[in-house]
Parts: sequence; C-alpha cells; structure tokens
Amino acid sequence: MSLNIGVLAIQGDVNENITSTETALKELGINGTVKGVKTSEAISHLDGLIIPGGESTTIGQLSLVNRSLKTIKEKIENGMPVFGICAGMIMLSKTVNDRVVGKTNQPLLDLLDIKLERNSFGRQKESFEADICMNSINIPKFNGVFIRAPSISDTGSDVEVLAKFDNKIIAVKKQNIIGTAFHPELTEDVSLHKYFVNLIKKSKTS
Amino acid sequence: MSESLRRIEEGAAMIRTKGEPGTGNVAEAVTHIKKVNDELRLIKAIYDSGDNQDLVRIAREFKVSYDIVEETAKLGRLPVVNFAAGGIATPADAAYLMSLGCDGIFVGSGIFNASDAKERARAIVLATTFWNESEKVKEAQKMIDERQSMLGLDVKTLELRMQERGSSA
Repeated sequence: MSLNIGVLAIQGDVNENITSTETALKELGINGTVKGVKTSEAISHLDGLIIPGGESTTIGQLSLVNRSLKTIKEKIENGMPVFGICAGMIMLSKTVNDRVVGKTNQPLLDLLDIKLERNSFGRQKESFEADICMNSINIPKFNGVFIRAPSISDTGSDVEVLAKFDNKIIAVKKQNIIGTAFHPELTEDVSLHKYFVNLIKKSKTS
Repeated sequence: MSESLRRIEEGAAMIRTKGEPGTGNVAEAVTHIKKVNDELRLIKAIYDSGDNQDLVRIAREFKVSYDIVEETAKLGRLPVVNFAAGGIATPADAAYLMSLGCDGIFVGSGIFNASDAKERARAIVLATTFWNESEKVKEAQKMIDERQSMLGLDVKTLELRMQERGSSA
C-alpha cells in the first residue's frame, strides 16, 4: 500500500509541507508520495490533503478559478483526511471574521463548525513562537510558530479542541479534519505530520 | 548568484532578480534568471561530486561564508524565495519566468501603465499560479489584448541599464 498525499500548491508553505510530510513517512516507515497539487484531476486521486499556510483569500479565490475548491469539499465530505494549517484552517471553517476589517467575504470550504478570527494575535510583526500542549493526541510539547495567526472563539459540539493558547483555541479536530493556527512545517518536529499520515493510513485501510 | 548570496547572508528573506524595469521587455529578466540557474547547476554539480575544496574556493570568490554556499549547493536553489521582475507585461511573460524556476512574479508598470490594468492583473495572476498548465496560460493570455501590452523597448538602446546602475559609484 502506498499513500498518495497532496499539498495544495496555489500559494504558501508548499515545499516546507512536502518536506515535513516526506520526513514523517520515512520516520514511520510508511510508503507514500507527496506532491504539490492544483488541479481537480490531481486532487481527485489523493488519499490525504494538506492545505498549507499562506494567505487564505488568495488560496480561496484561485482555487475557485479551476473548480478545485469544489473537488476538495467533495473529497473531504467523503472522508478524505485533510490538515488545514493557518490559512488552511481558515479555508475549512464555517464563519470567518477579521479582527480589524470584520467581514471578509472570502470563499470557504464551510466544513468545520467553528467561529474563527483572522489576525487574532495581531499583525505580521506580532508573530511569535510558543510551547503548545496537545495531550489528547499524545503530543505533550510542540513548538508552535504563529505567523499572523488566526484563532477560534467558538466550536460546534462535533468539534474536538486539541489545544489552547492564551485562552484562545488554536488546534481542532473533527473526524477526518485537523486544523491548526500555527505552522508545524516550520519546525524540525514532524510529530503532527506523523499524526496526520497515520490518520490517512487508517482511513485508507478501514 | 554571488550578489544574492551576499544579500541573503545580510539577512534578506527574499530575492528579486531584476531585469530591465519599465521597458515591457522581459528579455533581461530571462537572461538574469538563466544566469543564476547556470551558476546554481554548477555549484550543485560540485556539491554532488563531493569536492569541498572547490566550494571553499567559490565561497572565497563570492565573499560569503562556506555554510551558505554549501546550503545553496545542496538545495540546488537559492535558500530564500526568488521573485522575478523587470519588463513583465503579459501573462505569457509571467508563466515563462515561473517555468524557469522563479517562486513568484513582481509586476509594476506592465500592469499600471496598461489601459486594461484590472483585467491584465487578473490574467497575470492566473498565468503565474497555473504556469505549468498550458491551457490555463492560453486562457489567461486571451484575457488581454496583446496590442495594449507595453511595447518592448530595446534594452541595447537604453542609456543606462538597471544592472549597471550604482556599480560604478
């Protein structure tokens, strides 16, 4: 069995996520390929998808252009594991507001029942790193890199909270969907990518 | 490339290879990125051959640390993102530069001096994002009127070229 994992390659941390996922596969001893994907055709063949950090309006609008947004939504609804990082988590959410500008009117996948605030920790220069604890998925310590990060103020009953920082929710899970406000691909620690690869493996074998 | 590595060592988080700005002529930008690519291929080949002494020689020649030469050689690309600029006026220009390995495109007068700025900006974004899908590039190219593109100035007839500015001072 070989896993076919994709990183949405419209804009953002594409190469970094490919490298982290390849390292995770290697450390776990699981066969698989990781590729940047842009087209509906490529996305339709995936076993798992990472929507990387970047700028969510850009990613959303440009994936509307070639209808890949629709394919992504259908695949996730049919159980494909997806990992949304920062902008990727924004893409997955139902309601988005910006801390400064308010309503964003951006294209969303509308899959995670969360209330999300963009630029929640301030502007680019207020970016920071902090230790994060995700005990429920056996990652007690993780170096969270927050770059103009969003946060979640409220979650629906079917959404599990994985981590909080500063009383704000910064990592969530709902069945096949994971979202984090921080960037695990920017650290050497691949434990979250490993967790995601295992999720893909489980969904493919079940 | 030596110039880029010196800037990166000073702390630059991105590099912009500059062609000849304001001309609507992408030839200089293409020449520059091809030159950087040639040098990258050269040091990658040296790295793969295991000849550290030659990398040390290059580090000295470039006036940068050995570490940054080694990292670049190992990656086979610049260690930070590289945007192409200078003379880009059409979606096809943008897609061509992306195909040469640029991480992004920067367009100034090519859009702002065009009468169809809005549509042209949209088309260049599309061609840059989907540069490796020829159908999409063609579609983007059709969104603009080629006759309204900036007329490419001949770089040879310019009084002072961008790449020469500041170097004699």
